[in-house]
Amino acid sequence: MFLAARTATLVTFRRLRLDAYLYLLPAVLFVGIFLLYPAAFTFYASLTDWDGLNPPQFIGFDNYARFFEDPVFKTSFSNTLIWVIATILFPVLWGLGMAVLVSRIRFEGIFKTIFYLPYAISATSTSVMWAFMLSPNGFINAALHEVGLDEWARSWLISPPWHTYMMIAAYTWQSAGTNMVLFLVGLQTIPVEPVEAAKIDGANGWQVFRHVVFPLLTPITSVIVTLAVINSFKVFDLIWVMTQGGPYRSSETLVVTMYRESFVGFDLGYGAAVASLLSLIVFVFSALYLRQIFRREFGR
Amino acid sequence: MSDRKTPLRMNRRNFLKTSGIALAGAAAGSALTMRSPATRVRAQSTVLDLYHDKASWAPNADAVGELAGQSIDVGFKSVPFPDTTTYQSTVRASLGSDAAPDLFTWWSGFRMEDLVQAGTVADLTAIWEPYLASGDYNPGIAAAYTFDDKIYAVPFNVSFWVVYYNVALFEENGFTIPTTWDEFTALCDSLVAKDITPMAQTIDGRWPSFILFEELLVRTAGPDFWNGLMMGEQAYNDQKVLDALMVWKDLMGKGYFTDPGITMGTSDNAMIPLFQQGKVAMIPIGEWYSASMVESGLEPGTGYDAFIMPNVNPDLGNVLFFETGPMLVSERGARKDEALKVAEWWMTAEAQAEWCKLMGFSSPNASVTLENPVSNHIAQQIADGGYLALQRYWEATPPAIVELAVDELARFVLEPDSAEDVLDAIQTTAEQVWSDRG
Repeated sequence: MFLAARTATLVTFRRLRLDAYLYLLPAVLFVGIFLLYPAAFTFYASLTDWDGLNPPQFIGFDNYARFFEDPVFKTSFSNTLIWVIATILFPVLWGLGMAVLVSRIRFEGIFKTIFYLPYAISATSTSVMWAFMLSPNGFINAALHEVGLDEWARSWLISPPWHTYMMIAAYTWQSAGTNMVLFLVGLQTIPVEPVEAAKIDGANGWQVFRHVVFPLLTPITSVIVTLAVINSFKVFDLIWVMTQGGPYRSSETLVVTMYRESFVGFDLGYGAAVASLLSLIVFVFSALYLRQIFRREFGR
Repeated sequence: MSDRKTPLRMNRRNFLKTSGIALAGAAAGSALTMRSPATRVRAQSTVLDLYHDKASWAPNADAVGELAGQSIDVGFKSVPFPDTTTYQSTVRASLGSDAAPDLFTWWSGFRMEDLVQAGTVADLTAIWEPYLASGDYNPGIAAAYTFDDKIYAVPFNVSFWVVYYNVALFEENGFTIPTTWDEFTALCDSLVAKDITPMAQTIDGRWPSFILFEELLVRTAGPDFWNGLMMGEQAYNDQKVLDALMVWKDLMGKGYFTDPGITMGTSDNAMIPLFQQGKVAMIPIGEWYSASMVESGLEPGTGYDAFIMPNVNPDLGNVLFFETGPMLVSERGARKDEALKVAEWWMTAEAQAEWCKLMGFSSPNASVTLENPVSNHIAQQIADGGYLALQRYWEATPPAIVELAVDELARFVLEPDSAEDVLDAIQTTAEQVWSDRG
């Protein structure tokens, strides 16, 4: 009797556990088919010489060795670093500045909408628009001409390193609005008491922000910075539309190099090696980001 | 990319046959009277897919596809891709599968070599045989698609590379078409003096950097040197190539060209408006560009016309470049038999007359007569001057060399003092590529 009851409980327990796994199955299948399998296949492809038409031939880590010796790697990697640093400096700082500004002025909603609006435009449309403005006969050069600064006018998108700076400006214009919204959420969670206490103690506006508000924004800031870094590694559409990584590959980042080797040169194995390296870097930053989230949510 | 399988090659014989193409479409023939496709209502049994990356050509291709349906009961409809890179990767990925396109356009010469080597495209030699026997098609065109004596494509388009000029601008200023290099540079000087930019030049989209390279090299070093360079028998850092780049540098220094950042249609098009407004007098480019000019409102013959750039070295024979875009049939396509019927029909005078009329192209089928005055002027110049036509740079040498070269030539355009470094870089890659090919 006792044994029968225990067996029944075990069966029920097992059935329950099986049910739980069944609930997980769609998500697991989805992630497995659309993320894990492609990732594993990309890594396998990175170990092959493959043109997409003939069967891949295994060559070990030759593609990785080749990439580190390739002069394009130096340009591509340094441009990626410039993007990462600039993405932290500009969209994040501008987003913070706008959030602080907007939270203290009248007609807050109108300004929030204006600053957030660029994010509603697709990256491709943004790129086309900025490319048009930056063309030799575009708005920027015309404006410089109007104010007598002709010597500053140039072909922005074919002049290294100006092309990268201009693309970062376009990216900042589009992405800062999202950061503003996230910072606004952070600002709303700050308790009033420490701010008022600091004011009573005689702190001015900057001191309150520097020593009270900004430290209290640390959790959201770290999330925004980590997200910005991850996104900066992934910027592709904007660069591809505006310069295609040119002229003479001078504006390529790792992700553009990956695309170009894979789909312009049809050196799919080599492109997969660049993709694997890029994925590894993004994975490290993503892990840091998730760790930060878990710490905040679960206190560990 | 290494060359693993080498049973089929673009060999020297084929290349030289291609290079030796004489006038295609210049010969006079009987004009065909045809009914408009729109007036025909007969149902067609099958409509194939024609994949291509020339979105603006799609309406005309569809009109000809409709005509095919009425003529042979197998029609076709465009599946246009707005982006060349996406197009190439999609087609390559599908060719080995059952989802291969029925018909698709590609690039000739070395650019289609790997598709042939992989066995993904159908042998169309049988379609060509009667036309080669009758002489309606120049064998040079077939040579651009020939690997190991088999022909793997029919010509989707054939374009000669010319210099388009603004007719009104020339007439207003009393300019005449230059026939020698001295006349050409004098014309450019006159234009500069009138604050008009003589020629359009851009590196927008990467590939246009080879336009002036090929024109100036062949006009200073000659076709034999050019052929040798394309086949790896001459070096990029040869003095003759450097001399051509020095001519180019000199022209840039004299202000003969537009800002190389202007767009020409790969993303946006600033070149045609400048040409239309008379701010730029000439555009050196392939005849296919006429479709964009017509689209922008320029009339052939009265809005724009064309001439062939004169030789820098007057001792050289007359020469010009051509390109031919192939239409191919997928070997694994589900409707291969029907696609072969369309490919066969595409070669007929009926198909070519309609297609070339709609597109403003020269006809590769010599039995077709066209009414486009610009095409006729070019054909006349070629016939009168006994021009030798060479395959353009993009397809004339292995893609791995071209892809690097267009970037390096763009560097030269932006930094004209880098000529020697640029040529050394291209030569290093060329040596590697030819060595890999064995």
